[in-house]
Amino acid sequence: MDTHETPRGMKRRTLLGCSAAFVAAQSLAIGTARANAYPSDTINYIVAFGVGGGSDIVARTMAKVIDEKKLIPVKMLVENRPGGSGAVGYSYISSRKGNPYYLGGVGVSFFTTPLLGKMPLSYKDFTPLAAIARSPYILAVLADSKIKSIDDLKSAKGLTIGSAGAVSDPALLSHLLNKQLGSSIKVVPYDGEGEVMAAVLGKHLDLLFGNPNEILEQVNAGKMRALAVTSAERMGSLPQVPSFEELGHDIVHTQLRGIIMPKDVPAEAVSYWEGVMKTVAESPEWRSQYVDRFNEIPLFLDSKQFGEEIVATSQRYETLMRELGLIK
Amino acid sequence: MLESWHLLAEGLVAASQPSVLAAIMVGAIIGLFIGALPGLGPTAGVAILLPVAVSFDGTAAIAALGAVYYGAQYGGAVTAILLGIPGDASATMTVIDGHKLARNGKAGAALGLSIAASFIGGLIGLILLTAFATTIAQAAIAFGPIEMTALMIFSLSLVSVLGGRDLNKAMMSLFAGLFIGTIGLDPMVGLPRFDFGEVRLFDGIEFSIIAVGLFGLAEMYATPPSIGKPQEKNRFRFRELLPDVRGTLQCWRELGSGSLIGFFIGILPGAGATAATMISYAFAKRTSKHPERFGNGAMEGVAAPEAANNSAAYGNMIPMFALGIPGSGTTAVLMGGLLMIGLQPGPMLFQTQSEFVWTIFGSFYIGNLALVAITIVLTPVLATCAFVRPSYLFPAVIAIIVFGIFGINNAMFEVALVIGFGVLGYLMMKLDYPPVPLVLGMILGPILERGIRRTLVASDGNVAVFFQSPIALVIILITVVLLVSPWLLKNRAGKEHQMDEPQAKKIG
Amino acid sequence: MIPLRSFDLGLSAIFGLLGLYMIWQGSGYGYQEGSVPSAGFFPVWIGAGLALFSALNFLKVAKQSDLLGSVERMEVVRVGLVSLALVGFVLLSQFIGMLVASVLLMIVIGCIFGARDARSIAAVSAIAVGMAFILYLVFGVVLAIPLL
Repeated sequence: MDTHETPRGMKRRTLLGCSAAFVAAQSLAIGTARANAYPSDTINYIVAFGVGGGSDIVARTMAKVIDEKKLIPVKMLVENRPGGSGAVGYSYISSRKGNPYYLGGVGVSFFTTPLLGKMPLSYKDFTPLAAIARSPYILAVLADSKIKSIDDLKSAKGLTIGSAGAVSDPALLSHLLNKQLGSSIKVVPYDGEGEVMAAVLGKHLDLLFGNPNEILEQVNAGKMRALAVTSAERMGSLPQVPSFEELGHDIVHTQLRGIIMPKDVPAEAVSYWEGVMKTVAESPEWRSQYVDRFNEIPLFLDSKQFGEEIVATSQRYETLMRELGLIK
Repeated sequence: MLESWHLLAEGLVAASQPSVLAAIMVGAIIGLFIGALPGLGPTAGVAILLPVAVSFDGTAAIAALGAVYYGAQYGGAVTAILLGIPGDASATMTVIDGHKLARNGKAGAALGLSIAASFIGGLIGLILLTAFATTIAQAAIAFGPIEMTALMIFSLSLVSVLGGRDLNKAMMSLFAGLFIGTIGLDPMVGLPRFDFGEVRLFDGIEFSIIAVGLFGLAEMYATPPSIGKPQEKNRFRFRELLPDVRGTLQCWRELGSGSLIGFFIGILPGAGATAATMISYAFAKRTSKHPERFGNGAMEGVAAPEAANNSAAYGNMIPMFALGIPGSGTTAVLMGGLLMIGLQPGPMLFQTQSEFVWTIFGSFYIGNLALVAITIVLTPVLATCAFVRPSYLFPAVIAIIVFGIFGINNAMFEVALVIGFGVLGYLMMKLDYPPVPLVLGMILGPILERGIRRTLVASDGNVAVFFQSPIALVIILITVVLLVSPWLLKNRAGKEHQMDEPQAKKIG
Repeated sequence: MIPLRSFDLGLSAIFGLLGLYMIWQGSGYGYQEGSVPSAGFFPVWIGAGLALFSALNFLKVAKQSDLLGSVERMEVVRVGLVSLALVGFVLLSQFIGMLVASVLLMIVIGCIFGARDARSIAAVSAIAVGMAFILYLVFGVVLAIPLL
């Protein structure tokens, strides 16, 4: 799925966040009764993007697993609040300061929109809860490309690589790649991962950093060749493809599927969700309905570990955006 | 090819099982309804139904979502014709002549024609989809940034055909649209442009805001109120509410050309459908013996774009099914649905999930038939809308608009924008500024900008690459012909062959 | 009756100024980076085009005085009133909720568009209340939009 929701294609046109299925409970969510044990009220999972995008699929699948396994005694509603490249949704969550009934997911915009300086928020305005899957990126070329390995990239001239959005994981990785190899591959931003894939298939671009799901589909169809993965180890579904790290390049960057809450929520809420998320991450339902289906890497990070990764990721983006001249 | 039809026959049988049939009906009716609400289009419809639909079983879910998509196309024509409000950008051209027809008391004829056009366009699109889905997908990806740039230049040059009486004003409108298109985060470097310090403008201005402001409110402002003459305007004959079969049949050429242009341009990711409706309208106007009737309630002016946008809906699905590439906002949401039920659209889908794909295609045929039946029956009822007096109709319409626009992002910010665009639209209407070039600029300008900048980033600023693509050269050539031919043919009126089918060359 | 000429001059002037503003802002976004167009490239050219065509139109309208005709004063007043009613709705919604505010909005708009006698107003009010209920069902319940 996508990591950077397409700015014009999807999110912007996707109206009307939530679904009819959750209607009846909607009005209940407003009540603020906080009686005895946590949680005693409906949990609102705010997706800062439109229906059908990557963040939305994570949220809805997670909610489904939690519901199937009856992990929480209350209802969980998934609500889409798209707009402003995530700014609207994330501002909405952070405005519920101290309220442990609001959850949100972490996407690329979670880091980049605040860094643009237009949203008076940053990752520090949220409480990290846990991460439950990890999605690496795969560097790939067309099957008939003359590029057979990472080393071929060093000597090749005038290569282009696609990126979904100006500031995105593929853009970040491409810059790292250029730095590590001393190459000068040009990054061409597109509006979404689908567009990048189309441009590569149509030979308008040479390379792409894609997510496992879309790359595997093309590799299995014999249309593309995977060169390397950005996780520390090889992927189970692509055992013959090396990781950048084992090739001696210091490129390790994956997207975490994690959840956050507003700032200053009680500690008991954090440990409660750590527990729930651990069960989800380890459940066969989550494995089959999400991790395996989208070829991601199973994982569980608790609040502290996830928080550290958030800080590190934000710094990585800050460096990239400084180099691109987006932050002065 | 033959194999395709065999597979389709199996798909039709599979799509006739009760659960899928029920899903088709639910989707079609919801789509029709949402498409008919002013300000809401197919993307909204699919997004609304998606979370519910994924709880159905796989085939039924996608059949329902697909039905919402094409159902909304039928519904969108209703709003475009009766209220003059396009539900999404591809319905803009239907407004021009459709709404004129309705105001001239031919609401029934216009609606009937739009249904016929939707059905014929849909059917031709479907047949082409069935026959060529996998091969055509390969042609679509031949369109990279360079080719898209050429196509956008061609489409923007249509302003010379669509612009109305005063070309200078048309250009102002076009550039105002291009300006609106630049609002939001820059697509290439991520810098916010013309955001006026407002985060809500980061993603640009939603088309439906322009649609209800520029078209809907403006139209209402210019309608005389119903004081003093209580029932006079309301009198109409029942015949006016019925479809006009003969008039429809006379549009066969526009129906055909619109369907073909729609399908082939619609395949192209981006604004394929919108460009297709504009091209088909311009083509119909240019090849017509009476081009002066276009814009004043020409039946052909409804037939061509309506056939095109329905046909484009299927063309648009080809890159999604065959390559895993969503070509529009609606197919992006639809693809989210495929992913959620555990299917990865892409080259393997036709092989590994052949049965699924053909059942879905089968369901499209059934859904289109069902929609024709439903909408024909509803036509007289809907057409009476055109005769309700403003003091009763407008409050209701404005209230729906306001709620619909609020729903885009659950915020009043967008409603405030609509108020502004309503005033602008009124001024433009009164001062004879055509609104279509604004839509053209707003929708296609961003694609042009992306095309040019992507090309130049990749070529390191070398402009020569634009002339090294044969496809791009052909399109540029057609553009030149389009722009120069009026001057060349000025003395020789009646010659018709000046613009030979652009769509045939598009795919080569 | 208000002559439309002054409106056209005004709109051309506004569009022209917008064009100049675009050129100014656009150059601030960066016109070129090396030999590659940057974020300001298009805004500058679009601004230039807008300014040019607006200026041409301004001059054309300024020279010819009989081109456009006029518009009824009441129609312009109506545009203002409906816009005001909508602004009022946006502001009021925060306090009394969208549904109640929409009933008021609909009645006001009905009056603006010709419902002046008691019977018509009663009819519009009835439509407004019924419509508000439908809006609640469609947008609040079926589409589950968090209405204000």
